[in-house]
Amino acid sequence: MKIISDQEFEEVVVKNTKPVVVDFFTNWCPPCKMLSPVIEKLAEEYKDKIEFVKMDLDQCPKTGNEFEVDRIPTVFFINNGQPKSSFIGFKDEAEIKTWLEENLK
Amino acid sequence: MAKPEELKTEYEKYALEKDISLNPNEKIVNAIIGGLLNNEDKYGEKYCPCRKVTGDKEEDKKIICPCIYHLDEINSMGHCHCNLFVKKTAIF
Repeated sequence: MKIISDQEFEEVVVKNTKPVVVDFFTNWCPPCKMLSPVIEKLAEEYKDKIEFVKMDLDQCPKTGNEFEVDRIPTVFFINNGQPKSSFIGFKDEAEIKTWLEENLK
Repeated sequence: MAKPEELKTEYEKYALEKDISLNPNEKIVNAIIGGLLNNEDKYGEKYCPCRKVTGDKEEDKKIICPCIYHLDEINSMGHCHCNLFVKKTAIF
């Protein structure tokens, strides 16, 4: 999964024709480390329908502030540049899959 | 700066006092303690590694571990947000 910066957000996320899942993380957050392989697996599975990217909150203060991220991991489902839904903290694969399917409707 | 083992002992004592437990998953506990010590090194305080540090010292006091949110989170989710503390009966 691609890690993007504040500067790339507009191009990669806002202007994307596909929905985008953005996973905000930091390097020192254990639940972020637990969530990462789950998200990576789903990114592969849904790659035709959804783009998945990661943003390091410490390196992306602008986007983090815009999306009011105060806890990590925080994951957003973004459609046409607008956040449609989000979740905070670790979730397992089944829970996230349900969340993705609901947002793809 | 505290050593990991010292900090772990300190939090074990705290958990006993509050009738909660440290997460039985050693890997998670050690990772969080590493994150706390990293934040202490970086910012001078043991800010939760899973919360945003705003830079406003007054505001950020809330997320010095144990943060002001953890007891409510343990009651509602069975664990605090970063998974350091858990409900006594919770098994991971």
